[in-house]
Amino acid sequence: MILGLQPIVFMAFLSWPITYIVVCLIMYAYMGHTEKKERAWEEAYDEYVKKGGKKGQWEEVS
Amino acid sequence: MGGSVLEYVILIIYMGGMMYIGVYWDKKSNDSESYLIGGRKIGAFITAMTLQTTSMSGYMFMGGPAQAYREGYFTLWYAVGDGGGAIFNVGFLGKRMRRLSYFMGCMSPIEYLEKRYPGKATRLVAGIIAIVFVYGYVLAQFLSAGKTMSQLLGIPVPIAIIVGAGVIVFYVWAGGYMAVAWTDFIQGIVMVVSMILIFVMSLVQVGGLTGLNEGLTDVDPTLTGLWGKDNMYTGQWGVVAGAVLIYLIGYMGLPHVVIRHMAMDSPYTARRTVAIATIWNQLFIFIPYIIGLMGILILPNISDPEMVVLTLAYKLLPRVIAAIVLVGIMSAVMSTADAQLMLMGTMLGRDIYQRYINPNASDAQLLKISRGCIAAVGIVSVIIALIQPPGVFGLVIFSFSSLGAAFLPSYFCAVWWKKANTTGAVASMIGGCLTATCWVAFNLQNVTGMHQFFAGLIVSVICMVVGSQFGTPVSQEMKDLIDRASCKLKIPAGLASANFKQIAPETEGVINFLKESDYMEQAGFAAKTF
Repeated sequence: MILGLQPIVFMAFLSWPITYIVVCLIMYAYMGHTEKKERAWEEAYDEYVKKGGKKGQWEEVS
Repeated sequence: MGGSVLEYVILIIYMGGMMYIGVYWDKKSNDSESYLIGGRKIGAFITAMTLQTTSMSGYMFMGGPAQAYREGYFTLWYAVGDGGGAIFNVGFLGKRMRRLSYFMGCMSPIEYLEKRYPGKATRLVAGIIAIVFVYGYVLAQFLSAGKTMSQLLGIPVPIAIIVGAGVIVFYVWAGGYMAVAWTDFIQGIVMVVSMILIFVMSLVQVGGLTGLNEGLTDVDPTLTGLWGKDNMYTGQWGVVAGAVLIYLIGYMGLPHVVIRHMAMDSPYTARRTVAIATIWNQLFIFIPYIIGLMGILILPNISDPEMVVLTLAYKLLPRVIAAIVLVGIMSAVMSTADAQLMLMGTMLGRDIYQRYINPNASDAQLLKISRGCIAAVGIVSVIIALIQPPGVFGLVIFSFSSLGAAFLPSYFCAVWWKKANTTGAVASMIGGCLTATCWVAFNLQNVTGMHQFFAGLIVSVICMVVGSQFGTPVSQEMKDLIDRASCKLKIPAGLASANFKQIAPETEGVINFLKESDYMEQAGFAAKTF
């Protein structure tokens, strides 16, 4: 018994707050990881537009 | 339960505070963008709180605990899904939706759908579904506010509805989206603090979680089982799946919730919003249901289980704190009602008036019309609530399921599936909405053992996938915008290397090596894809 509940019932209902906090931390770290790439991408895009590339329309530049 | 002077004073202070916030933001909302979506300047804390309080209605203080009181632990399936709602909603939808809505210049969630899935049918179908069901939701919240105040203060229901709805209409009308967001922020704090206070005091009373569970097993062992009191839901996985999914992913289909993504000050705000909203969820969502369970032991003979939270508050807490719990209940109701009322004003002003009646409307005209619509919707809702009040919780479940099933695939696929086209979106909205509505109307859950939201969602997803194989394919311009919203487009080679330096020094080393060895040119890499 865990806190007076069958283990399966405890896992089904009361283990989730901890699980979600862990998932949230993983997601936070992952989003931070992609954020760096996305910021770099956005700067590159702005530079591309400044150099005459059309906004919202992508043309490959060699 | 009649109110004393103390309850009246605390409630008047609270409502006065909400109205002051409306007046404060009235002076600062000078154009339609700031009035309708807060000028896209909402930070992570406020976004997280307004998102979560909008999602939680008075149900969490009354309906949820009452259900747990009647059915035992089984009711926590709803909390299991709800606890992770923010991770899915903000994590998967927030950032991309914020970007795409900004690129397309959208200020309402229906306008967003219309531009992503261009065509008259999208406007018509999305507009009708959203206006009808969000209106049903507004009506339910007004009724809920009125009934709560009436029960708690002992005043007649019509007067309570007029006062409760009047305060909400006033601050939404005056301050627009910013007033809604800031009042939601305060209401979110009141809700969580009041709920934790009752939880701790009740837990002490029953001897902790172990004492609660042992006590429940003594009363009836099926209360602590997986399948509800008397094992009434044994083997009904369709009901369990619906109960978990409705709040885990259902919010992604509610227009008054997803508009919060569009109002964030930056796409990167989504990251902190996920963290804050998820922590708030864990502090708040499981507690009301567990309080309902504790009520079985502390208040075994309560006549109305919906009053279990408030009765426990008055039994276990000092009267002044219990009065704050009363404010918590009103906060839960008002934070949902204000967001829906705001959305009704946005849709009627931006999506109906500016699109069909006066396409050349100036910003000042749009602002005036949106405010007028908010006042009109508020007044009409109060009149209907007074003349012929429908059942509150039936209306909420009906509206929630229909909206969620209708819009979820359309909002999700808008940024995650480039091939999703107008035909698929329209078929999905009609199919999902009709299925969920019929499921409720004909009480098909009892016949099939499947929750109405789950059934509606399955039909809606199938319609989206199948429908998108037909009709006009998505334009290249739109595909580019979606790629841009997900930062997946190719970056010109000459520009990429400079920006790589910011990612990691080791990456820079690799780039230099490749440049020196002319490997990239030999291999014909003209551009680098992230």
